[in-house]
Amino acid sequence: MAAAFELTKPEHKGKYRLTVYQLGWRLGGKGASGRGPGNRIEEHGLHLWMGFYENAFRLMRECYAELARDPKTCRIADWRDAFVPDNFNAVADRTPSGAWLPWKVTLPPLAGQPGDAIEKAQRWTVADYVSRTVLLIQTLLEASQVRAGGAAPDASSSRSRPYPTTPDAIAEGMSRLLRYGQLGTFGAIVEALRLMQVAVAAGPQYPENLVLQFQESVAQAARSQLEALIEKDDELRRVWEIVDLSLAIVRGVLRHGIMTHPQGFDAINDYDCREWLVLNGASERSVNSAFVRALYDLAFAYEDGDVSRPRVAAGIAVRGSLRSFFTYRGAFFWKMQSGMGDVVFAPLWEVLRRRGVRFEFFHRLENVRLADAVDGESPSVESLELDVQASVTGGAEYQPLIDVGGLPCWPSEPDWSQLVDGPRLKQEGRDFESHWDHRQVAKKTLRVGTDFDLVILGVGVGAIPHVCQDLIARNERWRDMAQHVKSVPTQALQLWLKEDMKTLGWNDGPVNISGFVEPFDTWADMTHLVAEENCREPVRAIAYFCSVLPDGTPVQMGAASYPEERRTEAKENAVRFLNKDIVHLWPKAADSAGFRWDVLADAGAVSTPAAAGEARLDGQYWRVNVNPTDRYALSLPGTIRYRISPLDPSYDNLSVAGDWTDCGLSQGCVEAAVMSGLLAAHSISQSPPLEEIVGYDHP
Amino acid sequence: MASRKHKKPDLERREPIRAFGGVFGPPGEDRAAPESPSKERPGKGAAQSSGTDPVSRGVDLGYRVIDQYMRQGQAFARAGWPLGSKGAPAAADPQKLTERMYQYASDLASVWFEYAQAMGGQLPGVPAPGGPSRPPSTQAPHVGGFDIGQRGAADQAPIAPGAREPAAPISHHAPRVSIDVRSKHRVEVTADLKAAVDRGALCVHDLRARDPSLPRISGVTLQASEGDRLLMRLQIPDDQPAGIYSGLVVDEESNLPRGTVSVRVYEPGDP
Repeated sequence: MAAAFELTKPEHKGKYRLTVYQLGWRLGGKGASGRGPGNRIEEHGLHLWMGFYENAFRLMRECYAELARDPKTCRIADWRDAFVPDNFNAVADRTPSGAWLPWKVTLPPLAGQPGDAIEKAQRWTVADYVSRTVLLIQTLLEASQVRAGGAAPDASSSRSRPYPTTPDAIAEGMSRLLRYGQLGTFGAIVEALRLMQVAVAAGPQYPENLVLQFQESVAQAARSQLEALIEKDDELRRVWEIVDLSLAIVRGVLRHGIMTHPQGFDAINDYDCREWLVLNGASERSVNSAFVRALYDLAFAYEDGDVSRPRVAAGIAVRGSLRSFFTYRGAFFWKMQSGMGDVVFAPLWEVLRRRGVRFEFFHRLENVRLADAVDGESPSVESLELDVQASVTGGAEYQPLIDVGGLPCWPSEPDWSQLVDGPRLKQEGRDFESHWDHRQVAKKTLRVGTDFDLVILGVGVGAIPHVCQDLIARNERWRDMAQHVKSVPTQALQLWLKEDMKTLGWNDGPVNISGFVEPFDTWADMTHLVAEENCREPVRAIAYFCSVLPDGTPVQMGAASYPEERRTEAKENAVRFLNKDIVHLWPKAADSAGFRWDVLADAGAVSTPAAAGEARLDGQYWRVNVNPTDRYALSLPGTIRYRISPLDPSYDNLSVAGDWTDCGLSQGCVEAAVMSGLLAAHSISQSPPLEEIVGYDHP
Repeated sequence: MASRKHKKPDLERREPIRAFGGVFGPPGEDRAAPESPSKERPGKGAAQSSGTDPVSRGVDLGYRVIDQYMRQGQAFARAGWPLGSKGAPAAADPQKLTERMYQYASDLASVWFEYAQAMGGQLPGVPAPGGPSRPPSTQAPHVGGFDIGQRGAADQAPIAPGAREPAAPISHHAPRVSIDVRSKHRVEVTADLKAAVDRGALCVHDLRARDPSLPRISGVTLQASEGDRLLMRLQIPDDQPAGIYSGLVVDEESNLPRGTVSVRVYEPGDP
């Protein structure tokens, strides 16, 4: 969609005529949502937009501006209606005694809003990041000093004191502290960190060995000051874990020469993040802390969906973390005020339609066929083979949106009435989004030069082996990509609750929490969506959960019953989770018999008798994302180099797009998907300039 | 065989720039960002100037200079890093890239001068034609580099001994720099300063070559001069080996980097 948005901008003067071929009835892939019973929003998973998603926000801001909805008639008329800042977050901390204890943090709102023009003075350099990290360590240690009973740091004698002004003076200061072992107090450590901050901010101007040795001494001193205290104080323990991880990042950056490395953080992508942190001095306790677990959980970073095999490329994780914490604008997270389909893909569909883009729904891509090789010519796509899943009555254009209280929304199932033999297709239970449902009404072949000139392949990475067999067979890089760039299935659970969160025992405000127990390690309070829906029973709270789902074997996945089996498994996971684990977060949601199922609000029709007990879960929503196009792309160590860029020239009429591509960010998220789309547009039109894709040129 | 009509264009680059951010900053941030998200960004065709007016040419050349910085940085970094970069093109000849970079920089200075003239003194700190004349210059033994702002007038402008420079306001534009070089060799000087520099409090670290055995160039100064202009003074020792020397410009108060200075010293006798 991002590519289509770019290529149809007015400045191209209609040069590109686009047709979007879409599986099923809705746009968005794993970002698609639908309105189900009671107009309830049904998502593929939990989608939070981070405050550093500059390109994604810019896209949506441009989209809403062009859409120019009337706020009198549409409640989401502006991007600010669609996204609301959300700074309250938590990670599920586990105390040494084994108890779950949410670590709640309200991250400060920062200046600006995502998608604002980037100020000229803003830079993203490793030196800046490290400098900020050192400053963070300094601040945390000062806070620890106070908590541990020490005197409050004297600002007038500390930060306001002029810095040494020459490299020699700073180097001398570091040498002196090392030589005389003067790092025995909090104050000395903080002072030392000030020197280090200046040294790293200045880049490679100081003898690397000295800075590294200095860093190690500071880390050792900080450890000896704090470690004795952390067993008794959870707050200090958490602070120490962050300090320890931050020190490891600083040390790793120095040791691996990342500040001047031509590949930036990509230089360490062969390491797993935890492994790299340990390699650089982080303790086992810190790398298994709530913060790091949350980092893995949010990225579904478990190979083959196996939670005993957490793996994420260190460079991707560190870059993502630094961008998340140091470059967000407005808020750390932004929450959508309706379904992702309604907030993102409906406006995009509307704008693109106005611009003349054609949408061909109910088309499943089956094969990308290459032209025969010709000496001296780059290979190219000759044809696209598609299954037509359904035809629209009278050959009309399918109208995909429904009106929910004035807001254009996507339904959770197609509008059968628009389809030829719609009632029959519905009765047959056609599942247009299922990889396992191959029923079709016709086949279609699009030919180069006749039906298309250029192709942007926007399928999920999991679908590549199924639709690109020709490319994989004939191109080693595609073969490597298909083999190494892995994905995982995920599971999602949405609950509508008749009691508010306080009544259920959560005494803080709406929160996003990760690092919790499997099978649902992440929870977001989505109560703000109550007004968007019309449940039969009154709803006081809405909760979304998500997590990775262990992968099936190839034999299991080959069976037609596979999706339903996994759905059943996810339901069993949900029952177990609610009976056993949710009580740690919602202590009043359970009684001696387990989860109080009667707190679940039923969305069914008024005439349907409400279910009782565990059967009330049937009135909730859960799903497994096992379709190849829905699987989440992993950033596994040692695999990033196999990703293919949208700018890749291997095929002279084909570009790829998706968060699984080599798009600069290489993380599974909407920002990576948008960056990838912008790159795909650039590969065709040389616009937008690469320098305007925020964060593409980034260490 | 397919009857294709279209294929993707050749692109200038196909990878992100991940290196050298610590020295020059990534290119995107130094370039003009769109005023607002809703403002249309020009396409490729629109982005390229007609080349007829000095302002457009200046913008184009400015982009080329920055691009060249980045590419040169990459080339150096790749050449100096044995692991190389995935799928990276072979490193270009750094010397040639440097020459081109300086050529572009000189072009930019020239165009900037035209722009300043065209603006008729509307730029802060740029005297209008017929405005107050500048002090006469003192001829140095051999002078290289350029003056971004008003070429020819202040290349070697002397500073009165002991004169106190007025405090300069913080500017949100990259400051203009006059450079006073004293050298027996042919030298070329590049100053890359960030916006919003407080020009009352800058110092320049010793310029160092990549080869640590080469002597540093020390004593480089950067002081506020007339208007919002900065005057950089440097003296190249007679026995300074040929090479490229770089150093940081830092804020004296915070010691945070504010830019870089690079000097290329040519071999004696080089034209």
